[in-house]
Amino acid sequence: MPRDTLDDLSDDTLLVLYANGDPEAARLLTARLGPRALGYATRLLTDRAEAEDVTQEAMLRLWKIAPEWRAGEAQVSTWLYRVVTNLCTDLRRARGRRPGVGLDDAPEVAAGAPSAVASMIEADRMAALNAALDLLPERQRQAVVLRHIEGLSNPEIAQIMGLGVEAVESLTARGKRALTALLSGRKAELGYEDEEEAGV
Amino acid sequence: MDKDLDLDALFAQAAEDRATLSPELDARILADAARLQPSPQAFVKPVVSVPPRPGFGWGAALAEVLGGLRSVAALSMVGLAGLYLGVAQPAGVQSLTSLLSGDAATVDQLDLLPTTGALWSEE
Repeated sequence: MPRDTLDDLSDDTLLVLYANGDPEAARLLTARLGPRALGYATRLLTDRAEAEDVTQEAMLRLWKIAPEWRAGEAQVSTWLYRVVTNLCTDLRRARGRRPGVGLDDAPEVAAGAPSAVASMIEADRMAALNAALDLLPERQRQAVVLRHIEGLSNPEIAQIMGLGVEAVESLTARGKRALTALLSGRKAELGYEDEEEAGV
Repeated sequence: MDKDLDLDALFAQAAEDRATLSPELDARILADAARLQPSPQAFVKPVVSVPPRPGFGWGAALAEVLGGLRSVAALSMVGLAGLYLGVAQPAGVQSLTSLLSGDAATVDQLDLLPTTGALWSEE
């Protein structure tokens, strides 16, 4: 089927077309979903090469499940985010980083944490944000990235993370407080003090 | 400066910073897709060509046209029966043909099974 006639189709429909042998559907799904999976994985892993491997694996699982996909039961993007979340969790655990922390045991940021951030973060704001995100408990990091960077709704995040909506709200709120605390000690270094003085 | 506003601005900046697939990663993903994609032929009933049976020639072809060997056997039996009736001219057939052709002046009774009349005789 020509590409311009496929552009308006939903991810669901494209996946069904892929399962029926349409090669153009695979290209469109990759163009739509690949960058989202890669961006999310990069935020969670802070390692581009690992994020690329996770993205390829997640897309591979999508191709495999395509013949059994039931249109209308779930969003393809939600399903993919969930796969990426699980793959990143497994990878972080396998490489010996801090283990994931359950919702109930997720600690608030300690008073001395900003100084720990200061030794790790890069000079620019995005690097500082990524470094601060990397210091969050795993579930908080996932919830914050999905809500505030990927722009998903709380019900969607709840579906991805296998939690209730209230639990997601709690995670994102705590994650934001932790990030604020982590970054507040870096305001001058990140240029916010200068903007404040200049009245920006 | 409001701390939450700083964070929201950072989030907005991060959201605009969309990842792009490298050509290599794009190729890897599409190679997986091509390898795992079900073939369209899998959904089409395969067309199987049946080779002709060796040794029958035009006779086999005629039998196929007529509906197979059973049909040919049935047609042969019917043909032989017709030939017998035409040559032997049994009495019942003669009476029937006379009636149909108008050779018989009057026909009060048509005996289709003349040899079985003795069965009905009380003597």
